[in-house]
Amino acid sequence: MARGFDHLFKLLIIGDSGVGKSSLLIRFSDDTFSGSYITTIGVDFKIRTVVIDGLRVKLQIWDTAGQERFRTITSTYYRGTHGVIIVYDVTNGDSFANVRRWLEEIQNNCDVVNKVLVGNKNDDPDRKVVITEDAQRFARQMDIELYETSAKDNINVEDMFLSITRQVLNHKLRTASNEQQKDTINLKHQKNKRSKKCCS
Amino acid sequence: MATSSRPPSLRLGQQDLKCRLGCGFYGTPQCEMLCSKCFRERNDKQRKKQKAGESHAATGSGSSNNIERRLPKPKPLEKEKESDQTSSTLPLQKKKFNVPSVLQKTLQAGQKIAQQRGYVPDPTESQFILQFRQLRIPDDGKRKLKSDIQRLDSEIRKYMNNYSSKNVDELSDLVQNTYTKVADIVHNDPRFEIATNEDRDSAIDFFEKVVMTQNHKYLFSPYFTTDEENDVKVQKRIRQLSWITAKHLECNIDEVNAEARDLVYNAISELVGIDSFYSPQEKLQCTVRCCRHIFELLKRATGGPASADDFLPALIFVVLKANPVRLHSNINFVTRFTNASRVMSGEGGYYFTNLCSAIAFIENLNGESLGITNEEFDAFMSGQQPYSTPWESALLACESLHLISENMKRMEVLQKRNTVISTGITQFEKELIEFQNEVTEKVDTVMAKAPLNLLPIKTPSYLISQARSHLNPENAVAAVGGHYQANLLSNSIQSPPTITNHTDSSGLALKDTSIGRLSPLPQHQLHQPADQLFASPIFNYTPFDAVSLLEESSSEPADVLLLGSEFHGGLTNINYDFDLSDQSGENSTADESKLNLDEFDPLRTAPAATPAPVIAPHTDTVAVASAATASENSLLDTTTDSLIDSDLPVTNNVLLPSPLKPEVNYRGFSNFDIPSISCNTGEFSSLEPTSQPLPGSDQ
Repeated sequence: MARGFDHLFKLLIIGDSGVGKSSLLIRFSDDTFSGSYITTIGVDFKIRTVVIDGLRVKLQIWDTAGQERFRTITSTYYRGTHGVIIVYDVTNGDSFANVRRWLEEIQNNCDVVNKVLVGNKNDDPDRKVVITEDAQRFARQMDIELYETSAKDNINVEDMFLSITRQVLNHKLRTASNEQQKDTINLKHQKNKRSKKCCS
Repeated sequence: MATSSRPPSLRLGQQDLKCRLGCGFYGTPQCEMLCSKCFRERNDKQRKKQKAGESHAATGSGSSNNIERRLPKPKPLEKEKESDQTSSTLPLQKKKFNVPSVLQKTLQAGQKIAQQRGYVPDPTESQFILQFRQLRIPDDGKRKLKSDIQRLDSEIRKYMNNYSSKNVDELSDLVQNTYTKVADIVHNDPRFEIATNEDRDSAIDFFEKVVMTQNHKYLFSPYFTTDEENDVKVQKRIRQLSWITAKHLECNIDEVNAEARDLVYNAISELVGIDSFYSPQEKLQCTVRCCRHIFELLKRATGGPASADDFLPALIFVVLKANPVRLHSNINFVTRFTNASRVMSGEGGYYFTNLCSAIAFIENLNGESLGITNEEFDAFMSGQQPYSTPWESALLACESLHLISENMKRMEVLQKRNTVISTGITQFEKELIEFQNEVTEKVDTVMAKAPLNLLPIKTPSYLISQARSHLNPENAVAAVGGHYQANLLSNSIQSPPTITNHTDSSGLALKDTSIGRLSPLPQHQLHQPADQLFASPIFNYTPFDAVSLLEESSSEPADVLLLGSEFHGGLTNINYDFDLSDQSGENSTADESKLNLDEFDPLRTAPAATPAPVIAPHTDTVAVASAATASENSLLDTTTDSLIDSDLPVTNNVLLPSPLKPEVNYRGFSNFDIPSISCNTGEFSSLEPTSQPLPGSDQ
């Protein structure tokens, strides 16, 4: 395969309005420290290719509107999503409380999806309301990995994205190997197929 | 929002979109401009007819007929098609397919045949031919691609013409599966081995584009779906929601900002433009362009990269203000028949998803989602609550401003015209004044060149004295019976003496003339114009008048008074006599003839010698006082002498102020403020040439 990437993953960033979803996205896609930074198609449509275990993974990250009133209509965004990043604001208790609702949202729209919980704006300890321990406990309860980041100070952003990418990649490889066991003939196609089905 | 929903480039009459049968629903080209319901009914009818005429075994041919009816164009390609060796489409060979045939032609130099048959591919077809040639994939791959296109094409049509109940999802699956297969082939088939990834992708794109463009009329808003109803529904809904402002949506669109408005306009036109493209790719591209405009707008509004939190409300706002036609049909067409990966990933997919979300939001909109109470929302929706949105206001203001500027322009034009007119008027006035001045100037110059010289009457001193001396008896006469009476008397009496005059000797005749001076008639006959004129009652006065004026100071006061009184007394006479004199003037021509006759006077006068003494007593009788006669005699003598001496030319000179001369008259009258001047002057001109002596006298 002479493509520019081996895998193409679609990631979704969800979370309350104003928690810093877009900031995270911009920090991740526009920060040029990474050598694997290739291109951004549109200025506002973020794409970044990362290399994990020697595999080039192209990430398309879809930003979503976090407003309460758009909650019901965001289901279309989930089509074909490989991973979801749930963001809350550590200085805003409500945004953390809403995480549960976002998770439900994911549950309703996707069968199996890789998730990561992100507590953003973790740069000012004085203003921090959501204690790391509480968040950690909740994450463990939900079986989600937790990252506390700061898009402003570029803390943990790269790690968080790489983590979810690795998770998605592993999941995909696992699924592929499962399918390989079931149907060896289709392996060749499976690898390159861009499935139209959700959460492949 | 009717204006923004239809940009000029895509303007279509509402009627053009309606069903031909006039049921009120929208028609579609693929349903032959019928709405899906009417189309279905009509198809059912036709099918029943067909079924009645055909056996069940002939179903295939029936469907083929159906195609023929719908697609008359590819008919000439049938033979070509049959001669083709595409084994994969063998069972479908008898059917005609637009795209495949075209592609076959390109591969097998079919262009020539096409030309021979007079077949001209339409622009989209020829474009596809060109694009197909430009695809940088091996010929084997091209052939494979072409056959796949044909197969999908035929499958779609087969499905569409199938009598079984149709489900658009089945069709969608069919297409999607084909896409997957084609993608498989392109990426893994050895025939595509040497092609680059870009070329492979473009080959897949081409495949999709060709199939979708050619089958757009079948796949776009198929009659067995509810797309049309949804289109109408959402359009109505958006129309109802026209009261929504950017504030309701909490989006950062400055509705009244001109720059923002331009960007919103761009976004709107792109959004509306979605309907004008056939292939899903192009529709997606439209969406992307629309959304980029919105992002640009947001970037300017917020001063930084926009987030989805801002973007989605803005997109909703744009969709609301654009109210694009056939929104649902377009969305569904793309969702169903484009490569699924295209919608699920990539920029186009992202924006398309946002668009779908926006539409979903609009459809499920309630008061809560707009931050207002449901009561308010209902009031707005039912139109009970009046509203004015900044967007509409801005549009309205824009229009008003436009109108104002238009009017300003018009006013300017009018003002220009007005100034032109006013300047013209002033110029005309100036010209008039100039003209007036010119005329007066010219008149002045002419007047200056030819001044009306009123030369003082030069009465020879002897004449004055003579006149004075003459005046005394006259006065005496006037004292008796008035000057006029005296004249009359003289006239009445004169006639016999004139007769006698003729017979008089020259010397006596001269005497006669002296007597006859009182009456004009005999004087005429006597051929002494100056004298005769002088003799006329007026001329008796005029010289005096002139004299009185000229020599007022010199003359004695008593005399002056006398003259004045006499004059006043004679003034009436003058007027009266004046006419007479005129007549006499006119008569002057006759006089001249008479003059000629008078030439012979000496001959006549010769025999008439005796009457002189007769006249003398006669005069005496007239002049009562004997002393007066004596004096008169002396006067007569002087005159006669002088007259004799001077003869005609002399008299002319001497009698310069001949009373006939209008100037004299004029002068005299003007001095006494007698208005009838013009008459006289007019007469003068006629007089001048006739009476020779007068100009001479002037000199």
